[in-house]
Amino acid sequence: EIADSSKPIELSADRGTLDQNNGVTVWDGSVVVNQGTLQLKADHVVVTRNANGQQTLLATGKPATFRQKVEGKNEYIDGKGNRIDYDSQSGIAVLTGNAFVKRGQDSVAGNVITYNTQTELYQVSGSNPQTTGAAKGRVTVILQPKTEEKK
Amino acid sequence: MKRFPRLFPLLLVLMLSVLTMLLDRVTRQSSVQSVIDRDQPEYTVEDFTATRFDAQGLPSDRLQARRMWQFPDAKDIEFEHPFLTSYQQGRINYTVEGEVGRYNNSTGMAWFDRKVQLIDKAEPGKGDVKIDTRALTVNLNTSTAQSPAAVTVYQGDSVANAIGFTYAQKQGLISLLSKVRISYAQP
Repeated sequence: EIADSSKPIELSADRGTLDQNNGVTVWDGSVVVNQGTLQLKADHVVVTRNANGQQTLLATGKPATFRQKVEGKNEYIDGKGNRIDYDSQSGIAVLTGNAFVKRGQDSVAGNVITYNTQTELYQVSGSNPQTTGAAKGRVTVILQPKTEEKK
Repeated sequence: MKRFPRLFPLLLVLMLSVLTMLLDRVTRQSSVQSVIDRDQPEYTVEDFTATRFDAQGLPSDRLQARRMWQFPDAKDIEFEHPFLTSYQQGRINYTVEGEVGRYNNSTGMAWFDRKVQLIDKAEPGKGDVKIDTRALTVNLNTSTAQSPAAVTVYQGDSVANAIGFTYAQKQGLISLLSKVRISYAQP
C-alpha cells in the first residue's frame, strides 16, 4: 500500500551488525522485514542509511521473497528473486535472478523485474547474454482474462 | 672519696649503655604480625574519583563511584555505582554506569553489573547510541565492550533488541549476536 513507505521498518534476524560510522547494517539468518503491509524474507539483508536518513535495502536468498497488499483491495502482490533491491524513498523494488511476480491470477517471470510499490506497476526484462552468458532470455507474462463480473 | 672522680667516667658509660638498651627495647615495637582479616576490605574510599590523562594532559578516562574498596589479596578493585567516562581529545567519547562494578588496573578491564547503560556520544548531526543491558565487560585499552546478556540499543527513534552483543567503539561497530529484533523509525 502507498502508506507503507511512511511506516517504520520492523526487522528480525538471527544476528546483525550495525556500522554507525557508515550507516550500514547487515542482518543474517531468517531475516524478516516488515514495513506496513510490505513483508520481505531473505537469508542476508544489508540496510544502508544515507545522510538524510533514507534507507536502501539489499536482500539475497534462495530465493528472497516479498509480499505487499494492493492499495484499496484485498489482494496481494507476491514476488521472489535471488536478489531484491528496495529503496524506501522511491518505493522501487528490483528483483534480479529467477525473478517472479504474481498478482492475483496474473504473473510475470524473467531475469530482472522492476516493481514500483507505490504505483504498483512492474517492468520485466529477460536475461542479458553479456551479463549472464545464457541464451537470450525470454520473458513470460500470464494475464488471466477478466471474467464478466470483474470488468 | 678520692677514687670517685676516677670511677665517674666508668659509671657514666655504664649508665648510658643501660639507658641505650632500655630505649632500644622501648622503641623496638614488637613487630606483632598484624592479622589482616581476608574477608574484610583492606581499605574503602567514599565518593571516589580517579582520572587518567593522556600525553597532552587531556583527560582520557575518569572513573567515579559512590564507594570503592579492595580486599587484601584481590587484584580487582570493587565499586558501588561506578560511572566511567572515556574521553577523546578532551571530548566525552562514551560513558558507562552500573549499580556495581570491578576494575583490574593491570589488564585495563572493567566489569559493570545491574542496570548497566553505555552511552556513546555521537558526532554532531547523529543521535547518541544508548545501550542498556544487565552486565557489561569493558576493555579500556581497546575501547571495546561486550555482553552475553539481553541488550537494547537505542539510536534516535530506532530500537534494536538482541541476546548478546559486542561493541567496537572506535570503529562504531555493534554486533548483535542472536535473536535480533529492530524497529527502524523513518526520519
